[in-house]
Amino acid sequence: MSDDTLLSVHDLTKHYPITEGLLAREVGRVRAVDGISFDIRRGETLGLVGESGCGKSTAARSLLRLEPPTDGEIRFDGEIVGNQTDDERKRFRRRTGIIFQDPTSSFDPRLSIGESVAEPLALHGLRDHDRRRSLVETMLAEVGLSADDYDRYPHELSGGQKQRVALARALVSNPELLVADEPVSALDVSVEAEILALIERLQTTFGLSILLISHDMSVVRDVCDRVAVMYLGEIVERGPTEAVFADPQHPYTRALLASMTTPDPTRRGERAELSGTVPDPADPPPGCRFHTRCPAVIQPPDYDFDQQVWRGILDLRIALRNRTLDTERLRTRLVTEGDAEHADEISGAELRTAIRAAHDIPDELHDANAEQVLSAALAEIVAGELATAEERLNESFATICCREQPALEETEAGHRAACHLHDVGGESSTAESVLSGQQNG
Amino acid sequence: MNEPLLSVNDLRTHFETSDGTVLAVDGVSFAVERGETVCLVGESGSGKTVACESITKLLPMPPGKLVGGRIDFDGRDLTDCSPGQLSDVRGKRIAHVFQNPQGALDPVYSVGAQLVEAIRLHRDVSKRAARERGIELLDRVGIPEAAVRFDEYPHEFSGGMKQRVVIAMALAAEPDLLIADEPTTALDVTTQASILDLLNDIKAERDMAILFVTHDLGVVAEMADRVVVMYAGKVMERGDVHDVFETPAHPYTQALLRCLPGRGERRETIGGGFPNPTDPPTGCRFHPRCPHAVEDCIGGEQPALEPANNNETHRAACVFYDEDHDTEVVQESAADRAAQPSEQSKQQTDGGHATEGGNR
Amino acid sequence: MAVDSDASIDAQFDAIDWEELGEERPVVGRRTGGFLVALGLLALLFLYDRFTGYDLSIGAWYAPSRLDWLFVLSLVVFAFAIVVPAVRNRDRTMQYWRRFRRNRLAVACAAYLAVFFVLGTASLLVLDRPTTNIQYAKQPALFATVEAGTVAINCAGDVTGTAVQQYCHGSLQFPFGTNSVGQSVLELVVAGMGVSLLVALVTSMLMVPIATAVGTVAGYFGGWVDDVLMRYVDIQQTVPAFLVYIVLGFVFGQSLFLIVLVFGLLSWGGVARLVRSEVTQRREELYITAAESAGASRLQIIRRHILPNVSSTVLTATTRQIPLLILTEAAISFIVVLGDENVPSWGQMLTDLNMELWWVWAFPLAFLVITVFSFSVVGDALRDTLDPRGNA
Ligand code: SF4
Ligand code: SF4
Repeated sequence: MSDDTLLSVHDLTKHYPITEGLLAREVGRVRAVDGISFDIRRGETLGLVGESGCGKSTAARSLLRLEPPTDGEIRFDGEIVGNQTDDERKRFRRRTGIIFQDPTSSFDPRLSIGESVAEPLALHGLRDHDRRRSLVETMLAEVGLSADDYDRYPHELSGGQKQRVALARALVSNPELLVADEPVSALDVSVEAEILALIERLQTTFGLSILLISHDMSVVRDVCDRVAVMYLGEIVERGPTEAVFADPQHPYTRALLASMTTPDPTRRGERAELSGTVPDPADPPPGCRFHTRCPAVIQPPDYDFDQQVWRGILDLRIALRNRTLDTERLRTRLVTEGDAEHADEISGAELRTAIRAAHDIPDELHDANAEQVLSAALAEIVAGELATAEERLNESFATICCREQPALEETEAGHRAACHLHDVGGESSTAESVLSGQQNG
Repeated sequence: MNEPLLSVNDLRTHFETSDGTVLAVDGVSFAVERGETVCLVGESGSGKTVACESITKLLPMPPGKLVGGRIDFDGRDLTDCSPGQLSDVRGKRIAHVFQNPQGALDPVYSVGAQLVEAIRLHRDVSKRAARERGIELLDRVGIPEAAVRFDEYPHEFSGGMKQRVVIAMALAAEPDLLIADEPTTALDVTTQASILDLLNDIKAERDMAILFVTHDLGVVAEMADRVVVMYAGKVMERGDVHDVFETPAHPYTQALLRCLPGRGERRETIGGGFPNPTDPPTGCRFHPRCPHAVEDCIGGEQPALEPANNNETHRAACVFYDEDHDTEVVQESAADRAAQPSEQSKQQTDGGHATEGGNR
Repeated sequence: MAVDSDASIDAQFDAIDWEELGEERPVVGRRTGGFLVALGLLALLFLYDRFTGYDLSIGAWYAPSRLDWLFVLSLVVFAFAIVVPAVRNRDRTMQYWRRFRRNRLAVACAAYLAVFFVLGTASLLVLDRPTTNIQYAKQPALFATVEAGTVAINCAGDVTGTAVQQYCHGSLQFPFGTNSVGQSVLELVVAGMGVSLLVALVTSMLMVPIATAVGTVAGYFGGWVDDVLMRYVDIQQTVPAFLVYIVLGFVFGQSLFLIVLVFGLLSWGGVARLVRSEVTQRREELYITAAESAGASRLQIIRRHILPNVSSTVLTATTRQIPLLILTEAAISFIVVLGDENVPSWGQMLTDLNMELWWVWAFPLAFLVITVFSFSVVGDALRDTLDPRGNA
């Protein structure tokens, strides 16, 4: 942590308990944010990106202590945020500001926008009404509105104007840190460009540090100095924006970048897509949390698979683990799809083929050893011995991705990523080839 | 087949509000051929959604009112169809997919039940056959374990999966035209990518036409065969997607493209604000914000759509494309855009004062 | 406005020494001040009335003075809770009025309620008891006739007919006729307005603060607080206030005071529930989060953002609750005699179901119906008007 660090977040965790019954017995927890760390320097913009549900907004809210975090340490300007006195907390509040995605819900419909912007001033004890008004009017002018807008009401403003007012309110107490939670997602492109330009200008005027939360990689690329990519409550890659965009080190970051659309019809179809859905944060997968979807997932050392086939086998394994594969259902499915007349008439062979087809696994693997394991497992599945099959696959096709959680470590590219492909001693050359292969896969 | 599947001619849809008449769609014409994807692109308030909801009169009327124009669909004028005939067209021949899949699915029925209903509404088949067809459709739109998930309820599906279900329902009647209104806007990028691919595949498979409404130029580049750019209730430019992106002819399209993020450099802004929908500017509706505006732009009507770059199919509604003006002034190619941001808009980037017209 | 912003904004910020500013002290606003002063005055008057022999002769002839004091108190509360803010926020009031005006029926009903309010207040505080006057008993209403000499012994209006069969016509002196003891039905109807108004106003004054407090606390704090409060409301709602009243009536004797008290204290459950659901929605709004992040405490948030935003819900819900209360009061008066206070409730007038003297019950009945109807219509219209989700 260097001297000019304004905010330092260490191991921030926010779990929501899932409770049951009258006594609110805890039966599980949603791991919305699960141990993330980052620093923001003075005057710097850090982007926190990820898909919806990855925990980025929760992270923002708990680091501002709008919700108490479950664990972790937050230091603001060197002081630990959390167990402060009332005065200190108030001071912390004054020195931080937040704006949100939804400009409509951000304003009390009964207050004029001037009153809304003046609220933080009043809360911090600026009692002089005239002074408050003049400060607010200056602030409104600062964000590109006019002083006359003081007496207008939120419903009279467009989305972009409301977002300007939101900025005025967040900045009127002269904070040092601004948290912008998807500030432009609800806006049109042209308005989005205006608001981002405004945020940049305000950053210089006020010397702000900004935490920008977004799902939009292109916005992050334009605005942020550094970026942290979140997946399922964890940071999977972190580094200077340029480095991360030029040479992404985590398969998830690659997938995110690859699914961006470009306004260029000649480059149509260059997108790659990510299969599967984000797992339930109440029950995150073991090992690397991305392994259920990762196209570059590491192969077991003793076998030789096509990467796609390996992905299919792993999907089958995951289906066994999650109990989403069951032969009864498969039989009924074969019947309803017209491949068989009666559930009882389906032969074991047919069922095995169906399972392979469902996971894009060819009828015969070209690695004979692997084929042996797989057919044995399939036979067990058909016989209903799911647990044995699961165990067999787990043992024979063990991969570090399902076993160990990768740490966020320095990569050859210079910035950090949490992926076993970069393990020290691991074949880093494969990392390069696998990662670049992903784009075409 | 020289008749287009859908042709919209001088469509005018207005809204009566307490603040006056909103000229949401004010003389819009475009056509969709069989099997092609046309993207209707514009910012909020451009009238793109109203235009496409006018086609099958999905709009609440009143306050909406079709005050003029013709909508020919497969040789039939939809504007003077009876509600009965319309509802026959709607769903059977023209299907809709909306931004929010939540609203399109009834939470109290299983996905399968809704799908079966959609299928049996258009075809006289047994429940069993409809069920089989339903599972097939779910499978087609990429729902894993379709047979199992068939009996689940909407809340058990994620947003992207719900949108797939909605697409399956839209496909139930094998429509000739699918109107998709921002179908991926509410979804994550990764999900968006796969839904776009799905739509493209289905279109190719069934020779179905898609009218795709979006504000996202990246999506347009990905999907469109042809593009219609709307601004303040008028069509500003239309043409082949490659022409429009490579040599955008209309100053508005050019400005819009310069606003896009992710070009590495500083983004530019259009400056000025969206016009008041009840009292739009005279002449070219873009003139208060247009960097090239001249005297001729200010009075009268919106300039007609004239061919740009000697290309009959690529047209722009800007005075510089009629005979009396020098087209050079407003021409700009994708290469120029990447090379240097125009001085004009650079100044506007910082021009603090926002005058977007809220509904005062 | 051209601002050389960088310089000026910095200068302005520099001038603020945040550390010195300290807490926002809750300042007593002018409205709150006025309210407190009014309450103080009222308390003084009350004490004076109580402890000196001078009777201030406030209030109606039929009610015990404790009810009158309650009524005056509710008038004060009503004035400060509704009238003062409406006047101070003239723009918004006008905006609401413009929206309200679109509903013609509601405007007519509101006009009636205004008259109802004025006459009712007058009858409670100024007017005298309708005098009995045996001489003019059983007078017909205007435009009605009755046999003269047999039914109406004397006739205040014209007398027509043959010597054998004489008819007494209604007169302007008794437009609604008189009852069997010669009380003017018009005066009785006005007195009945007083009773209904009293019920409406005093029960609301009891209901509104309780419902708002319970609903807000339950909705804002959630968790077990919410559970406990809402369970209590459940229980309270399963016990009919009517039954409670009957039981207590046996113990303490039937009285209007008891009606008002029991119903005021037991019928706020529905309103509280509505307030609670409104608050739970509001609590999620981002402006609440924005205020929190600006350093507002829970109390400040409730005061600045929650209460003002649920006020319209409270107002609407209460207005829609009032007709029920008025009807219940009428029903009770219809069934039992309210102590020896001889309260001129419309319900009580209905007990005189004499077909020949139809005006004696028909007019009170008509006014009861009109009043209940008006409250319902105005309540509905208020909901449409005040709902901020409706386009402004
Ligand atoms: S650790 Fe394995 S599963 Fe996780 S991202 Fe790296 S390769 Fe993929
Ligand atoms: S007509 Fe004039 S104002 Fe409109 S786009 Fe062309 S140059 Fe600009």
